[in-house]
Amino acid sequence: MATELAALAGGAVAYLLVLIAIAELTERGTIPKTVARHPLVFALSMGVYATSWTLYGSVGFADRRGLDFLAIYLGPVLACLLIPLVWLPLSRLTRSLQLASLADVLAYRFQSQALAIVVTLFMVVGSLPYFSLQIRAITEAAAFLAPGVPKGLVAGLFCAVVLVFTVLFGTRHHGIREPRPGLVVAIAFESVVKLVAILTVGAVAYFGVLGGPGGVQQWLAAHPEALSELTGPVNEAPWVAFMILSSSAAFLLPRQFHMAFAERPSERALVHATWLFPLLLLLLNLGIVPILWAGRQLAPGLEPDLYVLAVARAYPGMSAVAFIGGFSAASAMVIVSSTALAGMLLNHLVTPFWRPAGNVYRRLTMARRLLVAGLIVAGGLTYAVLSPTGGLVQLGLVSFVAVAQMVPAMVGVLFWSRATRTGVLAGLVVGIIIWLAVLVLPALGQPYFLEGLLSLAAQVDPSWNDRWVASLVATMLANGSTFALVSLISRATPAEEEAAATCGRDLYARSPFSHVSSVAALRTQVAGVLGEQVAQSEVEQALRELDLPGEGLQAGELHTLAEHLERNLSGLVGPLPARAVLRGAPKMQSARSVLAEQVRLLESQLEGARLSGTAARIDVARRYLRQVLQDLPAAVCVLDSAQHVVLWNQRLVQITGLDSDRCSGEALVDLPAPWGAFLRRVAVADGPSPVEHELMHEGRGVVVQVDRRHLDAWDDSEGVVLVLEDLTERRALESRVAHQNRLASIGQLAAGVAHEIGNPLTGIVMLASNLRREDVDEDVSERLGLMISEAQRIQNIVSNLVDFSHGGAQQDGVTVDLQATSLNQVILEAGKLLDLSQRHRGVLCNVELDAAFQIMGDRQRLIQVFLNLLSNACDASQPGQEVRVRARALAGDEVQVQVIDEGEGISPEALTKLFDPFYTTKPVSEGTGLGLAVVFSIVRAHGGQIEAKSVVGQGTTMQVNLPLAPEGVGP
Amino acid sequence: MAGRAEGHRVDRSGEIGHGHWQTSLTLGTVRPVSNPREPERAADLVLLGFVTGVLVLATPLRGLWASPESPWWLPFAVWLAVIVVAALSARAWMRHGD
Repeated sequence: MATELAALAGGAVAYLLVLIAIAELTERGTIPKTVARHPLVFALSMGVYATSWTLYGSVGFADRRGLDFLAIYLGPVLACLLIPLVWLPLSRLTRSLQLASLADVLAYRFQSQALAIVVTLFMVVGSLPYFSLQIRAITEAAAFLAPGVPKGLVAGLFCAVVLVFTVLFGTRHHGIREPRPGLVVAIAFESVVKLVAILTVGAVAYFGVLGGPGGVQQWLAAHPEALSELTGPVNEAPWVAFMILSSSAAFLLPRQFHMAFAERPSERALVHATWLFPLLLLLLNLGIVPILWAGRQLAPGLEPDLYVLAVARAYPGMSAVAFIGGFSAASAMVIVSSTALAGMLLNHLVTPFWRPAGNVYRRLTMARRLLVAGLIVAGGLTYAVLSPTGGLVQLGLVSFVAVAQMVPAMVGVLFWSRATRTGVLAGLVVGIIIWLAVLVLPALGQPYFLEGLLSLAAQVDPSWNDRWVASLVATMLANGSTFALVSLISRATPAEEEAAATCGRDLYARSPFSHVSSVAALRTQVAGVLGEQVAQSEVEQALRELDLPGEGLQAGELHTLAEHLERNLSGLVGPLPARAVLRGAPKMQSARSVLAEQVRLLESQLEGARLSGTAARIDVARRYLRQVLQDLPAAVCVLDSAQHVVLWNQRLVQITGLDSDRCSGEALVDLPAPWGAFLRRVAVADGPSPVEHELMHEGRGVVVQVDRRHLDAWDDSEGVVLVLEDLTERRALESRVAHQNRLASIGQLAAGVAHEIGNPLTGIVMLASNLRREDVDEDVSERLGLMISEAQRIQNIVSNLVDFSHGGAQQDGVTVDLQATSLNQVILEAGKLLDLSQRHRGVLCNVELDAAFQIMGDRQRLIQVFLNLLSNACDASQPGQEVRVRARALAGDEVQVQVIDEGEGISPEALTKLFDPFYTTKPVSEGTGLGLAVVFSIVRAHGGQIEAKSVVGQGTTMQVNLPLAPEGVGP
Repeated sequence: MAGRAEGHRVDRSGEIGHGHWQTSLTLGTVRPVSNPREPERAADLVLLGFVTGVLVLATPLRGLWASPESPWWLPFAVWLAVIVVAALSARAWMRHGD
């Protein structure tokens, strides 16, 4: 016995060392990480579904219920067919929210610590029979191969091996946030070992014991009842019950959930598992029927669960293969299950009530290891307590029915947003009570409830008179109906509704969680609960993962950081404690206030995202619409309910001079004057819309029309859209047109008046001329001359008005009487008239005439020209400044006269319109806008040119070119 | 709101191999634009595979392959056929799924 014990112990330790070596090599990178992420390795790791139940128990199950044993594997095949539609969304959800177990998912979805505790405890209790199944399979196998070996010793040895490996690799990392490639590859290796073992033993049975295809035909001919025993149960009710139980167990068993979702396989690996995992299960079951028949032939009367070992023992060396295969299957199950359950216990029964001091990571890891040890010990105790009758499969099915109780809750997670925590809890409690009564109590020798249930089931339908059918129907009916009814009559909390939206594939669903004031505040907040070390480490990790700087974050970035941090902490301490850590912040604000930042961040995330399919097409439409908004000719400003800017388009940038990036996300009150206060006033106004407003911007008046619309119908955000139109130019133009219209009216009136004035004026001139010819003294004669001269000028002005009223300001409309005229006298006379009018207002006039220029011109008209130019120059000058008049000959028989002032100058824009009729830069009451237009017309009528040059702030030069009189022409 | 998006351009379409290239707004590079209904079609195929599996394995139709007159390995052959259906639906999903 000592030799056999030593061989067993040695084999177990050697196997453990091989597992450790594989896991360690993977963790170190010697075995590439790509191997761990390969779809085949993932499918093999999912093979943890096949335990010692498959290796040993399936043969016993087949002996009792024929091909019903296949239903345990065909259920997962059906479940795998739904991987793209059910597993994949669940995988994305768990990955996005760092949810590592079924309890995490339900706790998050229904925001209930109580539910998480119930689920965790139930999963632990429901898994313990499974643990005991593994221990029992190994101990019985050891006892069969080495009779006399104490079963307790074997059980202890097995527990020690799996405990060592689990502690080393199942709890190595902090929390369950980081994938454990070592664990994945080791479990995949264990699948290969058990696959090789069962295929080898199956081949031995088929070709060795039964004699190949011909031998099998002979054996079947000798045992004609074998095929009917095999196929008969398939057409009975339990087949469907087993299919339902196993299809839910395929991804809800703690170990399955852990490998499928917590170890973060790639989506590609998950989709390939649709067929790779069923193929693995097929290969694992291929040898069961031959082993059954070979076992019956070799060892009739032996417990069928041991047929695998009995067949193997018939060939040298095969016993070890069969035992190692069983050991591998059992240890993989215990390792992964205890890892998953320890995480659930830690997150939902430990961290909500225990705040570790000191090195939190180390203490959490230590707690996880203790929990793993406790679970394995509890499995051993269950093995000791539970009745050994009924075969290995019975214990496994008890666990399967327990796991099936989670199906209604998962429907609530994935498909039914109306489900409430009260409904889930009520349904689960009812299901658990029935499960305990009809499946657990009989295993403890109390079969009363089960017998009553079977009697009731037989009355409903005789085919339901089966332990598994009746228990499945009873628990699921009670659980599901209670869940649905209570959900319908109870109300979900806001937190549940938000979680339901997130679980409903809307991973960007808004959260009541909002931003904190700074990274430092966030760090302090985490430190207050989890300690300085964790706060420092977690905040830095979150910043690194989001590629954000450590300081100077905007509100939306802080919001994103806090959300990411919450998800990371969820992987460390569970979703609800993580939520409690981060949402207790007193500085949290309404999520609505960061809508702008969320939109901006979402857009920046989408900018860098690689989208495909429908998402890519929607993104193209989004970009197109955003560009339309950006390029609208109207200025658009969108505000959220807290008056933070969500959109600030390009036209608005042009009007306000404020950059879009500068304004987005800012509160209106923080925007520079006058826009912030103005837009805020407009946004909250109750009056009619649109409304025109005039405000001062950069020293000039701006007229804007604002139209306002509320976004009440969108997502309850109560935002506001403001559409602005800059009317400044239009209003100025309208003002000028109105002014010119007025002037035109006055012009017409003046022309009429001029016509009326003309006749009496002619009379005055004639009378004065007659009087002058009479014998009057010289003084009177001179005065009469002046009177006549001024009266003639009045006639000319009146004539101009008439010209404008008839022919506009074109030179064709001005009639000039060209005679040889002294330019110097014209200029001096204009200066004299300016003197008389007192319009120079202290401005010095300096006339520099190079020579006496003779020109061909209309004396009166030219005086009018220079009087006008001098008057304008004096008007533009300040007292004490100088106005210079210079005349010089030009090549080509021309003379150029410049009237230069040192006044304020004329803007380039005004310069282009200077000679337009009715255009004036003077106040409306001071100028008619006709003077320079008349000047222009007169100069052009003389065949000359006039030009204005000006520099704002330095002065203006009016330059008049006139043709000189031909030689010999004189006054 | 982020700044103006850059790199938008309108690309001409062509037909290359099995991918249909359409005139569309794209970002920087030209990519084949798949049929908008393809993800839905892939989901339909997955559902069709599931329904086929349920029909064959879980309804009374299972009596066709689970009878004493059938060879003992027939259930495994049916299982293999379902795996082929699963592989086809996985392939459809990998190509066109969301």
